[in-house]
Amino acid sequence: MKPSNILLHDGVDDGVDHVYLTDWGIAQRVDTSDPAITRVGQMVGTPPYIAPERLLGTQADHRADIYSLAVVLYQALSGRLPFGAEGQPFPLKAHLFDPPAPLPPTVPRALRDVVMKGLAKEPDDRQQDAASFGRAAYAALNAEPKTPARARKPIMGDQDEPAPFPSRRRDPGPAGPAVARTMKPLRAVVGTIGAALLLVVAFVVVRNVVTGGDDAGCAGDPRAVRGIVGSEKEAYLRDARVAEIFRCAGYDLRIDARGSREMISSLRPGNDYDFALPSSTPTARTIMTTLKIDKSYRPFSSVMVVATFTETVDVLRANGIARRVNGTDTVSVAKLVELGRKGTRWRDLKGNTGSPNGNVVLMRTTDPADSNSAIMFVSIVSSVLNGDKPVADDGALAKVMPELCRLISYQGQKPSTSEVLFDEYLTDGPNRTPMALIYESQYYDEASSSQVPEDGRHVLLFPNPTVYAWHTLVPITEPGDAVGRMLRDDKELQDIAVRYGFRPEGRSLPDRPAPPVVVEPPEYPLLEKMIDRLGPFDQQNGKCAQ
Amino acid sequence: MIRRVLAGVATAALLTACTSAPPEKKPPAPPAEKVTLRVLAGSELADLKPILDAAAKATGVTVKMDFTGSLEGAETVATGRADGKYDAVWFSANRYLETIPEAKKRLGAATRIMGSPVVLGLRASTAERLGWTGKPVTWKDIAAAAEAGRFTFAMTDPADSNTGFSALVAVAAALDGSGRALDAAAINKVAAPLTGFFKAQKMTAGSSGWLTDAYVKRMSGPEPIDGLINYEASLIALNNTNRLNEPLTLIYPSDGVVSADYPLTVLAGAPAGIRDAHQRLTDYLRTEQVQKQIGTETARRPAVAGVPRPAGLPESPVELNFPETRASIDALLSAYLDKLRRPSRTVYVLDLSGSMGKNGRITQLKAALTGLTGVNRTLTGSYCRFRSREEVVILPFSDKPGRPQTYTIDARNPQPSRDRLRGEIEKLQVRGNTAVYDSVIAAYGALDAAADQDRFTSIVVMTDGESNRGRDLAAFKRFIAPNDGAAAVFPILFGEAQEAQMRELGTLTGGETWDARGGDLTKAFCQIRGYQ
Repeated sequence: MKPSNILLHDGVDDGVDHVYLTDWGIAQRVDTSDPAITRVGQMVGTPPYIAPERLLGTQADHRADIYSLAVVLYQALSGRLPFGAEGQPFPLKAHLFDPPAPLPPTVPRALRDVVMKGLAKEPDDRQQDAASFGRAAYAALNAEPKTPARARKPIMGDQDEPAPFPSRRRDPGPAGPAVARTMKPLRAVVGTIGAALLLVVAFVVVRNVVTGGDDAGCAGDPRAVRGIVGSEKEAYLRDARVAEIFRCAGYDLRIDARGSREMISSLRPGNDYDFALPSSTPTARTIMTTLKIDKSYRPFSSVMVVATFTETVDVLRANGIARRVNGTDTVSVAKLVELGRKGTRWRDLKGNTGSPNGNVVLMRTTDPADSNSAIMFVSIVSSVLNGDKPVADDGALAKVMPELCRLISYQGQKPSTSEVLFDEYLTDGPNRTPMALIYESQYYDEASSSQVPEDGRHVLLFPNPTVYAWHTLVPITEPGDAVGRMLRDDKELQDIAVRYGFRPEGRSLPDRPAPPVVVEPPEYPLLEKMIDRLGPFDQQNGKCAQ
Repeated sequence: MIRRVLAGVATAALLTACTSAPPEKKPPAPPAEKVTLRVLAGSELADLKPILDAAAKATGVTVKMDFTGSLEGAETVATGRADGKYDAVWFSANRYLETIPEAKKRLGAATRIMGSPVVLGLRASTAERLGWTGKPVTWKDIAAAAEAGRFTFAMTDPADSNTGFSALVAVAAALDGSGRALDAAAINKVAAPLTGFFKAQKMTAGSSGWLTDAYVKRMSGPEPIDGLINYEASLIALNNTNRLNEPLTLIYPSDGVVSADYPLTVLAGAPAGIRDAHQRLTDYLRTEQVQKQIGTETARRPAVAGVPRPAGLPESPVELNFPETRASIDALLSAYLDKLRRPSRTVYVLDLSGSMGKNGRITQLKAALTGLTGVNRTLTGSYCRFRSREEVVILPFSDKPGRPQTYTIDARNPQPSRDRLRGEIEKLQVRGNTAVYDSVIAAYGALDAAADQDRFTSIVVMTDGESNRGRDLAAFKRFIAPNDGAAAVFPILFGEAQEAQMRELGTLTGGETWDARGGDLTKAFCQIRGYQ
């Protein structure tokens, strides 16, 4: 079974859609343990759909067809094959032994599970017959979508009991309801494969590819609405479903992603942006002042967190750097300032004597000249140095600058974006990046290519204090205003924002604890002044070198 | 209506679509637009060709690479010469570029593709003798053994090549030990142990590829060099060839390394189609399958979480903080060139035969040499100039070799020495015939005659014609034994130079031939500096 052997017939003649399965002869031939089949290197095109047991020439039965159908579904749902790409040698070994890459998070979780089970290497691990496969797939599409997520992304809680937030609920995701909504009964006309199975194919393919004109409540020419947005929201706003919701509302959403500072310089009056969506209130206020706009929307936020490792947390605890506040472990920023001042290195820490890491204990940040997340760091540290109050005047600013310069410049070169910092944290492990200051949304983003591995080593702590990055939309035109309203009010857009790791305003997310201590960022002109004055730290005189 | 369902028709996007428009209006699977991405790249990326060929098929994005060295690439970007000519740059790291404001502002989105730390490959027998096999070794241990003369190594010129630069930063930061990114003051503090470390450096070059070849050739000679500093990936690739008579043991200094992360970086201001192609290509290169393939085929580490690192590679070592200011980097490079490295002695064998009087050739030669005396203020030019402690021997020739004139650049006050040398260059006069090989042999005599032998030595031969006086190439071959560790000859082709003979002269002595017949003598003299 493969896509080119599945024919779809929509119901224009008799009002009933059909799915036909063809080319039985070929299926028969493949079914034998012809030795030629095992020389897969020479075969092009077909091996991806052949069950491993058939390729190995071992006993194969009807469950091999379950595998093939699962491959077809996998492809229909993701647009790619589980193994091998067109025009490349087929990766036989991977096909036989490796698990396929996960399906995209746009596919409902339950359906992903059904397909993955069908793709099991061992026939015994698959659905045992076509009917049960079909039932499972049908149920997955109609499932109550709230299913508990894997427990891989904890915020550290009490060490003696299960963390209070050991797992998070996976949000339904837009795809579930969306698919369910567009389903219509279909009758599949097939041979020995269960009808329900191809119903699944039919749901996915027929409704979306063959038909589609019938229930187009959102057809027509949408008008383009252009926004300049912080890069960390780019993936969310480019999400196919988000684009679709806006299209249905009459807008063709176009996005230019920029860093905060660049955004302000790009937003001269008279340019043709309909809205700006920076990552912080101070930046938004500056844009509002520049463009003389007195309105804004705060659809969702992202709190700053420290991404670290379980073994690092043990060391942090032993040295009083990680401390419990209101039942949640936090990283004391005051303590980090003190360690920086003393020049304490990771290998100097109590209980970390085996560590070769001779770098000063710091949380790693991005480059404040380039990236908003480092500006969040400046907000946090300056507030700690200013007696837990946002810096509000030049006098206070002058006092906090030396320590800021120290903590920023000791790190040496820093990534210019939060994506790169997070990547370094994920790929290179605790030797390279024991602590990284990132957006919480990066860690929880189910759609990103940078997924947190499920090895139990990765954890989040809140810095004490932390700040919220309030993603704030400044409407420049009426359509821009509509985008702001929709992002704030549309339930489904909120749901999708949750999947991208954001916290919609006013929505409580039971799996995400509230940070125990939060400070407000300084006003933008002061922040900008701090960033401009950041420079190398003059070791001799204990101040920023100019 | 019956329609075949083709692979790729049913995508996730279609799944989630709210069926806005009749599909008849859309092509079923919009074929990816074919785009060529013109990329200025580090030469070691040539090994990605099979992967990029597959990427072109899968994404429609063809990568056309022009190769260059790190410093030269940085200058190309900083001066705007890459604008309009290239769409993206792809070097081992953007660190160096990011310290130059003029270059940094020209960089757009950067996506890390893979990683490889710069480490020390040591002949297995040497690693065994030093007791370093399977044990944690620090830069401090390495520097101490180097200073004590217990091993020798080859490393590229940090002013020209990223591997040498990364190793210099790593050893300096590790010896400093403060755990902070290096600044100028810290560099001064560690000057003494660093000088000890560089005592053991017996070979240098402007590029890692060339250095590797020279190292391999030398391995079969009477005086092999023990160690080679290079990317982990390059050393593994070298071990997987049959070019070595013993494998290299990779030493990962436990106090830290500096790694390449290969950011594929679109240039700022690239049009949307190019930005999109960059995105498509990097998305593809970061898929799990391609990341694994990069690991298997090139031994580079994945840049994507969850992809296992290539078999046999240890966990990522500690990454040392990398200096971020231009001032720190300049201080480190200047310290290396002026104080830390073993100084060099170079004989410039200069053809002053009558033909050099044609077409302003002598003027070009004078300008090129003058460029090395501290008057060229471009980025590359300022690193090319003759450095403190360096010995420059000028050996002009025509009918026969002239008298070698030695100039030593004063360590404390280098510019007056360079000015004096410039004065002598100005006085050069043309006349007579061309005695190339007698003059090269005289250059070896000048090197042998020097009192202080602990220097990098090399010979540059600039000629615009065929040797027609004195010994010929065959006689020269009898004079020199290949790969015996004698100074390498770097011929520069100019005018009507006899290319085949000059190339043989270079190869025979372990040198390399530069072609300045296109006219850029200044560039040739500058690039050769990395090999001195």
